[in-house]
Order: sequence, then structure tokens, then C-alpha cells
Amino acid sequence: MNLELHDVSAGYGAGDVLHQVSLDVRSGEIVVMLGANGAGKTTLMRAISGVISRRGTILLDGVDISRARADEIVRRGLVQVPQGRGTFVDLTVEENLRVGALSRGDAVAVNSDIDRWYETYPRLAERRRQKAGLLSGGEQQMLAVSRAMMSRPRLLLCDEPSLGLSPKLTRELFASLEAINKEWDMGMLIVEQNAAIALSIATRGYLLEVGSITRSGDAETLSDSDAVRAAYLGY
Amino acid sequence: MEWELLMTRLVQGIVNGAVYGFLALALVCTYRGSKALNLAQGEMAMLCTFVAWSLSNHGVPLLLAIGGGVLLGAGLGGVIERTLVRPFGRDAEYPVLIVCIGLFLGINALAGVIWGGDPHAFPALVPDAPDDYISILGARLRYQQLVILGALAIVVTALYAVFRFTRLGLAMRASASNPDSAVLVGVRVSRMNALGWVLAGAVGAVIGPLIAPSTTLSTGMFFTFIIYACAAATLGGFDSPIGAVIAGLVIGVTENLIASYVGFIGDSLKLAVALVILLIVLMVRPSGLFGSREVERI
Amino acid sequence: MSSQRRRLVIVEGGRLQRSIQIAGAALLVITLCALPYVLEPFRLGQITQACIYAMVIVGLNLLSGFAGQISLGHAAFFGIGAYTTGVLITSYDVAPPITFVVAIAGSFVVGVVVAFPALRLKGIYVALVTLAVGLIFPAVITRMDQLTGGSSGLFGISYPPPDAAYFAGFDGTVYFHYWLAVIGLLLSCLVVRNLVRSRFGRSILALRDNETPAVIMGVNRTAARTLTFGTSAGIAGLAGSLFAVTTGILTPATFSLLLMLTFLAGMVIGGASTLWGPVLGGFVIYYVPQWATDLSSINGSQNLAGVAFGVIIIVITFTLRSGLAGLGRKLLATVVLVEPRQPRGVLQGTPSTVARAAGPSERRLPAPSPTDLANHLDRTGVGSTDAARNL
Repeated sequence: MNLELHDVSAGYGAGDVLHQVSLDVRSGEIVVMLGANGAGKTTLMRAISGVISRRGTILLDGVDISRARADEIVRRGLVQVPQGRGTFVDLTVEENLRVGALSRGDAVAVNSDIDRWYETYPRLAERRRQKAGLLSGGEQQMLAVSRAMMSRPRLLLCDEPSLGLSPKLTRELFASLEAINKEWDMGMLIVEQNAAIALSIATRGYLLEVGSITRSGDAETLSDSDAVRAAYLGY
Repeated sequence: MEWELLMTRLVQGIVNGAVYGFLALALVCTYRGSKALNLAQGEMAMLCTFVAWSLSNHGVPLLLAIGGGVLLGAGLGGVIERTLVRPFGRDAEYPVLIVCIGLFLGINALAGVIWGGDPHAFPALVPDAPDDYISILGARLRYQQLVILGALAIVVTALYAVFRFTRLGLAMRASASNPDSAVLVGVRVSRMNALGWVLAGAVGAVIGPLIAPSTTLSTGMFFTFIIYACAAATLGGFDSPIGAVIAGLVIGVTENLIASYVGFIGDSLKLAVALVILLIVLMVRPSGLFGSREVERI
Repeated sequence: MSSQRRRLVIVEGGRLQRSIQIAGAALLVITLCALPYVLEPFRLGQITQACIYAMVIVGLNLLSGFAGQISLGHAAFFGIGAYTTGVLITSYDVAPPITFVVAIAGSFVVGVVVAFPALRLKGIYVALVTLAVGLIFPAVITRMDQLTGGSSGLFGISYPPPDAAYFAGFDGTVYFHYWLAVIGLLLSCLVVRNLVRSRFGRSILALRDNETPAVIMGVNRTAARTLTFGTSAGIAGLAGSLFAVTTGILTPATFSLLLMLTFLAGMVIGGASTLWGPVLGGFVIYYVPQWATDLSSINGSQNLAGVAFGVIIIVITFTLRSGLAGLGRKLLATVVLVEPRQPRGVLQGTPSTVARAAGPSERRLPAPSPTDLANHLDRTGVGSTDAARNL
């Protein structure tokens, strides 16, 4: 499944935050969107997922989803792991996973999927009946990724997955994402501030500054790029 | 004799409390999605009860007439949510409250215009003569009261089952818990909110025919009940349906016992007992006994 | 866009505005004096009651409109004032003016006390607190029937007018009550207006619009909220006292849930957080039921007013957040533009800029569109000079 954005603009109210952003994610690729705070990364995620109104064209496998509702977009296989995990704190761990599968129709496969994710993340299995709000940050991140995967997505959007995580957990998380990408040939668009680790698993990347794409290229080039360094470190 | 009196008062309190809990349940259903305090819930219920009464007067069998009222309640709830609440979006507690106040005044007056201000007798579902009761531990439980308790038990169990064990119930709980994330997993949050209002309308419409035989049918019949329901929903926690019901029972029993055994309270201050409970809860633990969310505090 | 239509330009603080304001005030005074001669006593009595309702809403608006704390129980303060005066006059033979002072003080104190539970709560929980307090009141009154006459009521509250030819006879009493109500209303409006324009007023608005930063910047939230509650309650209490002496009879049934919601309705219809809105609102909620009864003799015509109220409130919440007063202001803005005074003082730039800045007739700043101005004033309260300076 591939994703294309052509001249997408979006904002909240009077001014636009995103100005004619164009990008693409091809099947099986991990594409990274870098940008500092306030660049518009979360707005971009919301626009793609259909949560806010947007102008421009968004194509998913050639199908125009620019005017689609958020739940339709999920059903088509484009699922987001939101910023801050978006855990359903009042529901149990297992219920959180089931919520992920709400857009699917097949009941039996849901149960086997849940078992599969318990195998991958045994800590979730241990806490399956606890309220998800009691989990640690790292556990909630595992839960968020598993929940997104429960929707059987074909392309994953991740909004700042490393936010609030320790370096060790961040490494584990990105290793997880890389594994998912390899196992399912799952395309991903990862929005991140932590350029180094994001670029380490990515194929290509973009740099978003104040709502516009200023740089793009493959991961290696971007890692060495002065522009990226300047954007983050100021020199 | 002492024991029998206590039991009678206890039973009366439980039955009253069941009604408070029932209406509080409706309040919780509308609150969970839209964060709206629907003060007009009682008036909507009253309207549906009058419609059921009219249907019954025109020859429709009582049970069907009540069913008609319930359908109206469900429909009314859905329409109100779609047209008057949803356009305000999130974080609009005050404007929605004002709209509900407008609905309160409007519906109440409308009922007055259509059916007049006089009280009417509402037919009972079960025989309701003074002899029609069963004895439990020395207290008299009239058939009508039994029906009230039974109906509440059925509705609560059904709702519990739906919320806990069905996908729809899970979707509704997810919407209430984290609407942003719910959207991202493909739940149609606006539809879940609407469903909350539909349920609330239906639940409210069931209460009226249950209590009308004893309280008589009039446009003001729900005035005190909505207040008790607010107290119960606050005590139980506005996002906990079970909490609302339990809190209703607690308030019903407490106010009745206090009114009977604490001399100076008497009947006229019965409502004040519930109100004092409401105030205490708001000062000590606004999220209620079973509410899971932290009420905004600074 | 704003220069397309020709409009009368009035500069804020300028001579034209002053003259209009003085003329308006004079007109008001003349009308008020003339009314007793023009209208029959019954109609005058109606105006008296309408003024009293308007007073309550002026007080309510201070709390719910300007300070943003919805009060569902304001009829209780109204009732506290009424019963304080009623009981003191009938059982203890206290001179009415003194009872007014006691009533205001009593309502103020109760208002402050009620403010405490509401201090740290937000949203519907504040509304619930006020609802609870508001409803406890009639229950307590009924229970204390030794003192208050309970549900059968308190009778014979009267405030005989002073010895003067103007106030002689039955008509004279009506005139007297009329003046009491009018002066009470004007006084309340003055108090609210000055409060809102003061530093205190600005801190209340700051709290309403953005609480945390306001507290961080040093606004004493406790003081601001409790004093606002108290003042709002005090005004309603005075209204209650006047209600007691002008109607002469009190029953707890008057101060019901319906009355509380009706007051809130009046505030919304007239226009929350405006100055004239509450007055308009008070007159609307008094007169519409009267007209409904006059117009038709169908049973339940009172209820038509109720239906109308309900519909109007809902419509207003959707379309005209600032109520009838806001509508009036918008209409006025199509023909009149009130322009902020040019800022005086040191300006960067050429001496000619400085010299020309002082003249009111030349526009240096782009004229704001009327809707911007109206919305801005709406949010920040009538006459807030900060609004003008920010444009």
C-alpha cells in the first residue's frame, strides 16, 4: 500500500499550519518526517487520518481519501499511533487491544491476533486485566503499537513515538517498528523529533519546517545533511 | 412493630432510590459522550409519559402505549443530540446547559399547552389496590413497587451486558474514555454520542409510566426527581452508569431514614437531605464514588 | 470594507459622544418622571415588578455573564432578601430601609459562603452547586414556618411611603414603589458598571477567559470569586426586599426551580455580559407571560410564553450569543461607528505624525469593522478601555 500527498494544506481556524505539503510513502518503506516543535507534524498526521479538514489531494493506493471520514480511512488500512500513546486509560489492557479491532469484522481472528501480541509483548499479557492507565510509559507505547496493529493496517502512521520514553525504551521501540516493517512489509510514516534514531531505521525522510517541506532525500543523505543539523542544533 | 416500620421505610427508600437511580442513569448516558448536563431529561420523560397516556386513552393497550412513549423518547433524544448538541462541538458545557434549560422550559410549557395543568390518573400496569402487596421481612411491597424494582433491574442488567460484552458497548466506552483515540481506531464517535442520548431518552420514557400511577400524571411530576437524579449522578460519578444507580438507591434510603428518624427534618426537608449530600460530594470528591475521571481542578 | 457605507462616526470620549450620553440620560430621567402621570397605576405596577426582575438579572449577569460562573440558584438570593425584609417588618417591626440593608448584607454573606464550594470546580459542577443551594432555600423556608409562615405564606409586608403630597393615597403608594424599584435598578446597574470597569472587573474577566495565567499573574482568585458572588447575591437580595414590600405577600412556592431557570433565561435572552441586556431580559421575562395571558384566554396561555422562552433561548444560543442587547448593538453599528480615541503621547516618527495624532477627525489607525468591535467588547465587557487600546 502506498500513500501520496499532493499540495495538502490544513490548519485550525484562521491560519494554515501546513502549506501545500507533498510527499509519498511507497509500499514497504519507512519514511521519516523530521521537524522541530511547532513545525506542524501532528497537524500533518491529523490531516492524513481525516481528523481535521484539509485541502489538497491524499491518495491511498491511488484511491482519493482527501474527503473521507476518519473511520473510513481506518477501514482502508491507514492507521495512526497517536502522539502520547492515546491509551484508553479507563479500559483494561485487553479491552484496549479489542478496541483496536473494532473496525474489523472477523471475531475469531481477533482472538488469535490478541494472543499473538501477548506473545510479542509478554508484559502486556501479564497486565491484561489491569486498567491501562496504570501501565508505565514504555508499556503504554507497546500497547499503542499493538492496538494499531490489531486493526490489520496496511500502512502505519506514528506520531512522535519516542515522546516521553527513555533512550533504552526508545531503542526497543524502534527495533519493534523495524521488525513489524520487515515482517509485514508494512509501510510507515514516522514523525519524529529524535532525528538520529528515526533515520537509522528509515529508507527516506523529509524535513518539515513551519508547515512546509524544505528537504527530502534518502536517510543517509539526510543524516549528514547540514540543513537537518541546523534545524535541530542550530548550527 | 418497630422492626416492621423500619423495613417499610427501608423498602420505600429503596423504591424511591430506584427511581432516582433510573433517571440518574439517563443523565449519565448523555453526559458520557457530550459532557452535557441534560436538565431537561425529566421533562422529556414527562412528555413521553403524557403521549403514552394519550395513546392508552385512545384504546391502545397499555404496554404498547408505553412502548410508543419509549420510542418517542429514543427518537427525541437522537434528534436533540443531532440538532441541538452536536453543532456545539467539544468543550461547550455552558451553551449546551443553556440549551437544555431552554428545552426544560419549552417542553414543560408545551405539555401544559397540549394537556393542561391539571393532574391526571395514569393506569397502572398491575393491580394497585391497597391489598395488592407482598410481604418481605415484615414490610409491604406493593405490586407496583415491585414492577419499578423489576424494571430497573432489567434495564441495568441489559445495559451492563451491552457495555461489558458487546462490541458496541466497547465502542461507546472507548468514545467516552478518549474520543480522540476512538476516532483513530475507526469508531464513529458522533454516532456513539447520539446513541447515548437515544438510550437516555428511552430510559427516561420508561420511568414515567412506572411512577405515574402513584404520583399522578402532571406537567410538574419530574421537578423533584430531576434534582434527586442530579444528586445521584454526582454521588455516583457522572461517567459511571452503575454508580448512578447505586447512588440513587443510597440517596433514597438515606433520605427516607433520616426524614423518619431525625425529628426536625420532617418531610419538607427531605429534598434538602439529598441536596446536602450533593454539596458534600462536590466539595470532597467531585468525581463521585465510582467516577473514574478527575474533575477539572486547579 | 468598513468605508463602503456612510456612517456617523463618533469618537469615544469625544464631545459628540458626551453630548449624546447626556441627552440620553436626560431623556431617561424625563421619561421616568413622566411615567407616573402617563400610565395608570396598574401599568405602573407592572413596570415596578419588571424593574425588580431586571435587578435580579443584573446581579445574575455579574456572576454568570461577566464572571462566567453559571448560577442556577439565584432565585434563592432573591428569596433571602425578600424573606429577610418580610420577617423583619412583620414580626419585628423594623423600619423598612434598615431591613433593606440587612437583606443586602445577608444575601452578600450567603453569596460569599456559597462561593467557596464553587471555587475550585468548573463546568457543570459549579452549576450543580448553585442549583443545590438554590433549592435548599425554599425547603428551609417551609420548615421554619414559625418564623416565615411556611407554605401558607407571609402576609402584610408593607412600606408606607413618606408624608408628601406626591405619595398620598393609594396611587401615591404605587408611585412610591415605582420609584423604589427604578432607583434600585439604576443603582444596581451603576454598581455593576463601575465594578466591571474597575481593576477588579478586569481581574474577573481575566479569570473567566484564561484562569491559570490569571492566577499566575497575581489575580487573587478567592477574593475575586467570592466578592463577585457576594455582590451578585446582594443585588438580588435588594431586589427581593423590594419584591417583598411591593407585593406584600411571600410564599416559598414562588422561589422554585422554574423561577431560577426563568431568571437564567432572561439573562441569555437579554444578552449576557452586556450592560443593558439584563435589563431588557428582565422586562422580557416579566412581560411576555403577561402578554400571553392578555392576548388569549385559552387555558394554558401562560404556557405559550414558556414555549416561546424555550425556543428563543435555544435560538439565541445558536445565533446570537450576545442576546437582544448584542443584536441591538450590531444593528446600531450599521449606522454608527464608535471609534476609539487616538492614543496620545509619545509616538515614534515624524513630528507631523505626533501633531496629527491628537486630532480626532483624522484616522491614523485602520478603522475596525463593526463586528470586530462588537465581538471584542462582547468578550471583554462593556467599555473596557483595554479593548480600545488593543485595536
